[in-house]
Amino acid sequence: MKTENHISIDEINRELPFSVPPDYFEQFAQKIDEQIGNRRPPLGKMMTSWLYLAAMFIGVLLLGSLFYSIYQKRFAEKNEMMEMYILSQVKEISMFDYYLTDDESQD
Amino acid sequence: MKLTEQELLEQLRAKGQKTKAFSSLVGMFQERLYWHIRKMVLVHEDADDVLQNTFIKAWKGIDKFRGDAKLSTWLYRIATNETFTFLANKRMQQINSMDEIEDTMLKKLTADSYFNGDETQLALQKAILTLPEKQRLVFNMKYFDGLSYEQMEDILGTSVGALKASYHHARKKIEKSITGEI
Repeated sequence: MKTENHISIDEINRELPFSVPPDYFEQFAQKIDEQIGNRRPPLGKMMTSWLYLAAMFIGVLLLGSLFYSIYQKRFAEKNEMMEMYILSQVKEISMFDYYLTDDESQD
Repeated sequence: MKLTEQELLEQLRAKGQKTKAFSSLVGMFQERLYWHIRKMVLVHEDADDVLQNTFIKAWKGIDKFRGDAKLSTWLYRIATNETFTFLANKRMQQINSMDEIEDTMLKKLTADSYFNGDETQLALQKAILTLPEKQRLVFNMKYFDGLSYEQMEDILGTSVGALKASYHHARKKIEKSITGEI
């Protein structure tokens, strides 16, 4: 026995309650054309890919040079500190001796 | 000028015309196949993915198409298989989740900006989602597309009798579900 509020699906609007983005089907056909090689991608799109590549390359170069200059700076600082440390370990008198001895041997 | 399926098939087999003819095929069938898929996956983005896979599969397999069935039937079969594969993959991805795939689909549907149904239509979609996948497909093809059982038999490879029984049961379940919902 049917209840009072039984709903038949024939009473419901059969229209599909879905939509698609504007121009979806035109763009979809173009996308498939590109994938099967029937159409080259638009110049703008190709240029964009090349621009991305070029930008990536430049980015890598810039980062590389940045890291290299930081490395060089640190290396120079380390060398300078090492030199200062060594000099600090040598007594002034022995340095004078060294230079004097050196001068005598040259004569 | 609109091509017939037979003319299109001849062009697809002719040397040097394949890609152009395939573009015509896409133009001819994309909308029908899109809606066939969309009714199953519900969300636009998913339907777009499955439709792309369908045409790529068709492109790769067109040389092997012998013409035993109609071109449209062959395409519908590919679209149906791709849809089932997509849903199976989704199910696998969600194997550890507390939510069933149908719950996720319903959540995505209500959030989808390309869903514009009213309360009753949402209840209908919810009820359709409670059906097993194959029954859902049968219901959609009959109820929304108005395909004949013979056409459905060609596409799905299921006998007319079984399709009729499946639709009848689906209809009963959906009406029961909607009656309780609204």
